[in-house]
Amino acid sequence: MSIFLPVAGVSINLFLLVGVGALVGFLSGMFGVGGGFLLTPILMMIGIPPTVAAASDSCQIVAASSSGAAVHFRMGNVDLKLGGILLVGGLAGAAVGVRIIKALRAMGNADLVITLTYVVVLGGVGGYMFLESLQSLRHGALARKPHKPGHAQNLLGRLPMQMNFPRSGVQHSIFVPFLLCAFVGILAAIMGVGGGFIMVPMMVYLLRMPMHVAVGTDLFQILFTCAGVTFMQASTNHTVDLVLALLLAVGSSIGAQVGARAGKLLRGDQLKILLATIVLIVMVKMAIGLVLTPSSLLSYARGH
Amino acid sequence: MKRELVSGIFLLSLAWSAAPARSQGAAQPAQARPAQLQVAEAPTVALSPSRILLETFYSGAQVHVTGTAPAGTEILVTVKGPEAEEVLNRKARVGPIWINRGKVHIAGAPSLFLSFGTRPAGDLLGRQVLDRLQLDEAAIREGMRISPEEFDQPVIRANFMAMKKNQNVYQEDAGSVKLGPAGPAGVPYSLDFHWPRKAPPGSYKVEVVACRGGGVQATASSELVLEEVGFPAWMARLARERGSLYGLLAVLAALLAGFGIDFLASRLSKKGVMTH
Repeated sequence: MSIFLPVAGVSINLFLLVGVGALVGFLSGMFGVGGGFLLTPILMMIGIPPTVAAASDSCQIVAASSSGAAVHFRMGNVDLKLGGILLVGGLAGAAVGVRIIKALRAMGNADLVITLTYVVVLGGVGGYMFLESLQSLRHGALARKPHKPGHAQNLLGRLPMQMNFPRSGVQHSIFVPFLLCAFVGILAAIMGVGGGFIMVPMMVYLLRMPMHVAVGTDLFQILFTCAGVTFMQASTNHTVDLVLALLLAVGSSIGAQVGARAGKLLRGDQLKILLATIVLIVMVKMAIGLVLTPSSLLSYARGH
Repeated sequence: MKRELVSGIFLLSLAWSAAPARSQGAAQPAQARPAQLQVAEAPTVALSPSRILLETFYSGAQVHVTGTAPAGTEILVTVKGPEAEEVLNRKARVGPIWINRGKVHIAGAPSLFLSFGTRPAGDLLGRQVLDRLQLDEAAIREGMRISPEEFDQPVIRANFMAMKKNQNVYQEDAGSVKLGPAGPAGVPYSLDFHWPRKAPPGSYKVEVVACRGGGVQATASSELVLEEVGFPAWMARLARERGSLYGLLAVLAALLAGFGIDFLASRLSKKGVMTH
């Protein structure tokens, strides 16, 4: 059964759209990632114009992240206090990132910077997380001994405006999550993705948050970020296809429910190694795509 | 004055293209004949449907083209969408890696090009005629304008055509037009084809060319309109004209979908249908 998408101007199989949404929603609910890195290329592959695919993707992430965040909230996995600071930091970083990308575009080498940033960041984050989780899984309880603070953490502990985050079980200066999230926001704006892939590992390794709380809190802040992007895309570029977004949203909300529950069945280490594997697969695919001769030398502009 | 000049040029071009081919083959149009002879024997064309409605559950349409052709001619049917400049990313190698390197502007190519004939277009008409009237993919490929001009033109042209064919908006199907037994009104012809689902709303020109001896004997054309109606039309208008309201509705609808499904799932979970 096909459905006509009024803004995209094309007719696509209804079940295909719901199915694609469910797959991305599953990853979203399980790992706390928005799924934009995966969904936009899939939508383009099935015939949605690139600008509409990118904008409608943000809209469906609102649905998937609200569904996933609600489940995590009930499970006690959302740190509202820390999430609020992360959100403000992320938005500030995104604003700076957009200016950087504009300057790079004017210089004509934005695409090179974006692509290399993708490979380096995904490779670094995925590689570190994979090795660390593998070590942790191998050594079991031994590796899960309490973390001994290093020099950097001692230094961070002396920063002003220390705040306690009981839900995450950590204490940080308010500047740490803010600046960290601002940095992720800059990267996210340069890379053109929501940032979940970078944000969750950062929360786990730098803020020392438990994996499940990092996932829930990340979904909480993605919800607000993508709601803002959706509104801006709709009012400025008129590229949000609500029918497309809602069909994806139905699929992704169901997928997110299943993903969040499936994630609960796994230990933090197992979740981390799965996420690291997906990040590394995406990175390897991108790296191969960079060096192999493309099937077509032309592509539609995606917008940023 | 301008209209008379255009009509004159059109009649001259018809006269030139309708001339019989030289003995070397159909590729070369031959001497011109008086224009009045060709316009008198024009084909007819009827479309069913001539208006395709893009409703909520639209899934493409089957289009039926019928008419009569002058005796002794063969038929080429083309469907063309409006021309619009397309801006595309161009990939280039920088050291060992391929990245998007600049934009390519392509103009002069129709948004949709379908070609159907009793035989391949190249067998029915000479190359000059095909190029002048843009009646086959080779003509479209060579006729498009690419800027900046310093880009590798043949490579860009080939990639553009491949991209359009991959989207099914450029198609050639020789042998799909069927001719019936000749009657007093001419030779009946018919064509059935599936309208590409990815073609956007708009007005498309269906042109029927009666070919004889490598030239054009006469042409007829009709319009096929693809139009949004009902809910899709309302939605597209709202998105276009009231972007902020539409954006707000989109966010609210997405939130409703997300929290609604969470509510349903938690209810099902409590009843034991969906377990952790």
